[in-house]
Parts: sequence; structure tokens; C-alpha cells
Amino acid sequence: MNGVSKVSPGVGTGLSKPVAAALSIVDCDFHPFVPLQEVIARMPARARRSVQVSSYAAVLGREHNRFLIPTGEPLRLDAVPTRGGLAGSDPAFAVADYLDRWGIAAAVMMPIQAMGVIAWAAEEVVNSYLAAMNDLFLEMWHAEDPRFKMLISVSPHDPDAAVREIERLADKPGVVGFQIPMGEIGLGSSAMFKVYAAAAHFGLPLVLHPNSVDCSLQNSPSCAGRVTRSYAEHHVLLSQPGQGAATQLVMSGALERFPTMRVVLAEFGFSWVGPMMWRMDTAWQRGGGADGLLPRPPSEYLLNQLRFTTQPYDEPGNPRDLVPILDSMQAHRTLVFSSDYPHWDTDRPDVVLRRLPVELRERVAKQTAMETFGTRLGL
Amino acid sequence: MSEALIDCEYHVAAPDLQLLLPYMEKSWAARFVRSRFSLPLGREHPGGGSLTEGSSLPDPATAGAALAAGTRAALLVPHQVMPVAGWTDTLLCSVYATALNRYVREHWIPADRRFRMAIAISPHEPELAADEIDRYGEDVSAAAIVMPLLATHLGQTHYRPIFKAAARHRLPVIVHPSGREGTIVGTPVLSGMGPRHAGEYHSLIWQAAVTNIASLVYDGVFIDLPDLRVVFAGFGFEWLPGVLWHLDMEWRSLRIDIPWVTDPPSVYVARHIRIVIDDLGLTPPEASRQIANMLAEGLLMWGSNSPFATNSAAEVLDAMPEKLRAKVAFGNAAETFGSRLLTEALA
Amino acid sequence: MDNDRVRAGVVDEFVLNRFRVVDTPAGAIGVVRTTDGFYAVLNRCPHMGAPVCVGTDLTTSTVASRPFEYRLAHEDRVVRCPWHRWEFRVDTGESIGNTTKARLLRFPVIVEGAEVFVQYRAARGAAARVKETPQ
Repeated sequence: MNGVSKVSPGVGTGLSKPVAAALSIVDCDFHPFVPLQEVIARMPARARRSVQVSSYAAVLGREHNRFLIPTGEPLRLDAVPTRGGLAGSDPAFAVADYLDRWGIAAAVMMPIQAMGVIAWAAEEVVNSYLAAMNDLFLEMWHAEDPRFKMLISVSPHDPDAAVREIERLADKPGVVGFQIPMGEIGLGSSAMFKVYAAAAHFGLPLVLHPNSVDCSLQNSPSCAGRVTRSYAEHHVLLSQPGQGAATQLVMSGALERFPTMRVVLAEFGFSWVGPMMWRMDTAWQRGGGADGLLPRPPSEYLLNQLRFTTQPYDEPGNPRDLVPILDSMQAHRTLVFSSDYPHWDTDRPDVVLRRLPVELRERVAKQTAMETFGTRLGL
Repeated sequence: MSEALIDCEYHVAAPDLQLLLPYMEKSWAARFVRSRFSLPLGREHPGGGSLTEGSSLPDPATAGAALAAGTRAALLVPHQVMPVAGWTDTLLCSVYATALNRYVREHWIPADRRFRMAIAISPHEPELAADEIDRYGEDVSAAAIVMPLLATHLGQTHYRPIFKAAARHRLPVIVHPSGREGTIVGTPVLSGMGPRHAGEYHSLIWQAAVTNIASLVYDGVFIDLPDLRVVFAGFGFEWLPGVLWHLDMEWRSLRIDIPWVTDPPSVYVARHIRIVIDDLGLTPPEASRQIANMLAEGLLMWGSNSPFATNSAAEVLDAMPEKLRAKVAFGNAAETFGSRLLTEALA
Repeated sequence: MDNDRVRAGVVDEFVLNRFRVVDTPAGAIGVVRTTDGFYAVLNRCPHMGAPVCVGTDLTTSTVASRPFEYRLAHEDRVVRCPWHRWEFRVDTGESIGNTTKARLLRFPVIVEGAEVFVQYRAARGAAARVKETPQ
């Protein structure tokens, strides 16, 4: 060997070639960006004026100086597109850097840019902003590569508008589900039932995700307690809004009322699921839950209708400790793979799948996601 | 011969406000009466559940005889202090806690030599709480401190006078649900929950323990106060392994921001945090054993939760791995609460 | 030229504290020039295999202190992973703050005149760095 074989200051150097060719993967939590100026340009002029963009990436949502990120940047620093811009802003780059590299058959797009609307009071602004963003994700990402799958973002404030947006887009190719930034209307509230009914009509699962304004906006789920001092403390509690959502959906009877409804809790972790399920059953047995209206134990609804993602994958000192935890949540039917690409706390697909018990790998990589999203995945 | 037990959570209550009024200044007693202060019902467990119809609150004169066989010491938790978390007259809360303590000290402690009190404090006024702790600092009948949680996390400076006093006297601080979490402003929020279905509270109350464990460890409270122990009673324990994995994982990534945390967070938890198991619920015993096996051996302690007990000591211990049973029953509490708990010399 | 080394460039091409990543038979290796010489580490984080030399220059971290004090340390010797921000010393390969026993894999760097080479077969216990040879 002589001379410079290859000097690569660029992206992804050192990652191995696709290892997962034999295993095609459905990623249930992938984070793309769209150019917000383009979203805003598509909004009606009056609505446009009330949208404040704090950066290319985000509408004003969280107060920036709350629990500052210790190293300043929440994205993977090696996933910056060759042409520049933020990690996750260039579809062609993401195809090469992520889909092709790991054998991703479908990546469910969770638009973080939709979350800031929790703070917005003007419902028509929210509705036009989300509609423009939804269109742009279809045009810019799904059209670039059909493996990018669409979640319809709907208003957390206005269930009627949410229903209209679901009806407008449900039959578009590439749409696999919908997402609601968790806001002031509890997910177990009957106000949400018309949204769930529309989703059930079209067979669209609901995907929930930490909304980056959790514990920041008054109308968004807080961490338990109230205000975390540091980002580290905040980040360790990231799963709590998901725990709240799971509890509301089960204990309110919403899942009982909509038995075909599937809900994916993305990036909320999973090691709490079994233990919380036992607590729910205990509470139910003692007379709690939908004021006694739930005919069956909460664990049945949870196991049948809720799904949980792998990322952030637990790292116990003794890897065997995960086995009873996975058993307790019946992971063979409730756990789906997610990467969180291109966020800083991403999980690498082959590493996570290899850490799972061998009998779970195929289920987690693809099968359970296919059962959850159905034929819309096109797999 | 019964296994030796230390009961870390034996609830006691004053059945009537009249019993507390003698332990306040007259002007305060008059204010309690004039403003129609409503004494929290001793029959109701603040974390959920109440005494069944026909059963009565334990009486100091007969309670000792009714302790579980083998009990060598019982920590008396005056649970009527928990609702102060939801009250706004913070001075009244302190006066009330002081009266509860004097009631327990005079009515309960002399009744059985195995009784020890957990000093009830209101966390609203930390300096007054520290004074209350100091009042019992040399009293061997006091072996712990007990309080409910406020929305402010335990690592934040608000609580520091309480923790300093606790460490000064080597008195562990027990925190216990108040039943107000998730509903009353000023108490901890439970994520996602409003005043909705009863079962949501039980499903989510453990979150308050998680938040406060993270706050204590990441904000370095145990580095400033190496003698401090904080005990979580009434929050369960089965969620703990996953929480410890995440505490350690975030530390590996974000240590630069909390560089004073020089050991893995789970190590601080093993050293300084204790968990009282007082209710197994429907957690399968085999799962309990597996989960307990993942935890540090000194972490778990038994509490009867009497008179609201849902499990016998034998049931709880059976849900522990063999190697932990004696520690959960006795050893860990003896180590945590120290010599005051088992000394024969009572004032 | 030996068979066990790969040319990483000429000295002047190296921006201080910025990795150049070269492919070698032992995998991609990041080579970096610091104020006390060159270092080389495998471009692979021991945590999840992320390209640990890509995305940030050598940087500085913090060390143990009283709560709420931040003492800077390891100035310009810290490799911070672009994924989970795990941190390692570039010269010893050890984690900052002992957060993990895992280490970066290190390689010797040879500077001959203006040319910089990395010895890709000499990983692990071998000396982690070689001083720049005088011109």
C-alpha cells in the first residue's frame, strides 16, 4: 500500500457496507426536515405572517435556553449532507447514507417541525401550516424515494380539522399513519374520538413521539415533577409523556372503543412497559380505569393495540437482564425497530438487532411493523 | 421462629383534630378551629385505598401486639402529613407537622419499645423543616424523616436545608406519595395525567420517584452530602432496572454537563437511595424476583403499609430472590436507619 | 515503503486538531495533528461503531469538580463521537471521566520529512503517537 488510498473528510466514512441485505428493516422513527420557508410560502398570506421561524429547522416551540444541549447540537454530526444543510434535510443523501446502507425497506417519517404548533392559538394558522408541511413531505421525500413513508400531521387543537386533514390525505400513496403533537386535549378524551374514528375508517395507526416541547410548553405533557434543571435530567425522563399517553389511551377506554386502532409510541423507550402494565392491571383490579367501565384488564388493550420502538435501546450492564423485560412486554408482538436517524442519540440498525434475542430479530425488524401498518407499507 | 423483620412503613394517624391542638400555640390552635381546618382522614391512604368498612385505625395501646410476628422495629409514618403538599399556607403546614410529631411522640412511642418515629415535615418551608428535624436530632425514638413531594425536584436547592439537617443527624428522608400528584397545583405533575380516571394515578405515580431520583443524582446532592439517604416508599420498585440503565446511559453521553457525577449514576443510587416495597400488586412473583436480582442487594426494604396492607410480609419476601430475603426483611433497614432503630434505650 | 503502513498525507495538509480519515486494510483510521504531535485512532466508536473521527475536531471536556463547577480539562485532546457524544482521549484511547472501559483503537504515526504515514498493523498496546521528526 502506498500513496493516499482515500482521504475522506466527508460523511459516514468508516461505517461498514450494508450488513442487513438479508434482513430488510422497517424503521418506525425517521426524522426528515423540509424547508420551512417553502412551507410558509404555501400558506395563505394572512396565516403566513403569524408563523415565526427560529431557524431553518424549527418553528418557535421550546424556549431555546431551557435545558441547553451540552454539546450544542441535537443531530448526528457525521450525517451532514454533502451539499450542506442540516442532517436530515436532503432526501437523496439520506437514501445513500441511511436507507441503502442498512437495508431499510420503509422509513416512517416523524416530522419534528410539526410539533411547535402546540403553542399556537390561531387554529387556522395551525391547520394551513400542517397541510402545507404534509404536502411538502409527500412531494419532497416520498416522491424522491417511495421507501420514505408519510405520517399525516394533524392539529392537536381542533379535532374537526384533524379529521378533515386525515380525509384529505389518507388515500395518497405513501401515507401509512398519522401523528398528533400531544397537546391540551388528552388522548383519552372523548373529544378525540372523531379523530380516532376517521383513522379507524382508513386503517391509519397513530404514531406518538416526544415532541421536543415536552416539559416546555404549558399545553404539552410535562415530565413528572415539573421542571428539569439540566438536559441530562430532561433526557432521562423523555419516556414519561409516552407513559402518560399509554395510560390515558388504555385507562380511558379509548382503545376499548376503537378495537382496530393501533398506536405506536416512538422513542419513548420500552423497558417500562411490562412494569407499568402490571401497575395498570393492579389499578383496574382495585376498581380504577374508565371508572370501572373497562371490561377486560388493561394489559390486554396494551398488548393488542400499543406498539413500542427499540430506540433508545437499553444498555444494561448485564445484557441478559433485558430478557425478562422483553418477555414481560411480549416483545415478539409489541416491539418495532426505530433508529431516530439522524438525531444524536440514534441507534445503529445492525447493532440493535444483533443485541436482541435471535428469535425476536425478524419480528422487530419488520414483521410486527408490517402487522401494525398493514399493506400501506407496500412490503 | 419467625424471620426477623423491620417494618419500614407503619402508618399512624391522629383520629381527631382535638388531639393535635394541644401541641400548637393557642393562637394557632384557634386559627385551625376558626378556619374550619379539615383534618385529613387517617383512614385514607394518601397514595390510594382506605380502611375497609368496619375496620378501625390502629390504637397505640394495642398496635404493638398486632405487629407482624418477628417485627423487631416499626417505623411510624404519620401519613396525615402528606396532604400538605397541596396546601398553600406554608406556615400552617409546618405548625401542623410539628403537632403531628408531638402527638406521635407522646401517644405512640411510649406504647411499644419497638416503635420509632419518622419525623413528619412539610417541604414548603425548608428552614422550618430543618428546625423540626433538629428538635429530634438527639432523640433515639426518631429514626427517619418523612415528607411528601412538591413539584420542585429534590435535587434543586429548595430542599437543601432539609437534606443538610437529615445528613447532620444521619436520619434518612422517606418520601411518600401524597395522593395529590397529577391533580393539585404545586405538587408533582404526572405526565399526561389530569384529574381523570382513578387508575391513572396508580399507573403513573412511580414517575415522581424516577424524576426525583434523576434530579438527586445528576444535581450532585449525594456528593455534597455523602451521609444522606433518601428512601422512596409507596412508589413500587419494578420499574427501577430500566431507569438505572437510562440514568447510566445518559451519563455516558452527557457527563460533560454534570462532571461532578464521577461514578455511574446507578452506583449513587445503590449507595444513597432505598426503596420500600409495601405492595406487590399484580406483578408476577417470578418477575419480582428477576427484577430484584438486577438491583443492588442493599436497595430494597420491606414495609407493611399497615393498616392498609395488601400483602403479608411472607408474600413480599416470597417475591424476593432467596439471597435477598433476609436483607429485605431486616438487614437493609438496619443498615439504613442505623443504631437508633434497634437500641433498647428509649427516652 | 513497508507493507504495513498507509500514507495519510503531507504534514502541511493537516489542519491542527482536525482528523483526516484514510482507508487502510485495518479499516478507516483518523489521523490528526496536535500541538504535541500526530495521533491516529480507528474511525470507529467502541459504543456503536459510529465514525468517531468525523464531524468534530479534537475538543476539550470537563473533569470532576464540586457540583455546579465546570473545570475544563483535556484541552484539544478529546475525540467526541458524532452520535452519542461519548468522549475519549486521543492519545490514550481511554474514555473521559471513566464512563466506559472501552477504548479507541490507536495506531502509531510515522512522519518522514513532510510525509505522514499510519502503521495500521500496530494497533492496541503499541505507542499511541510518534513525535514529528525534525525537518
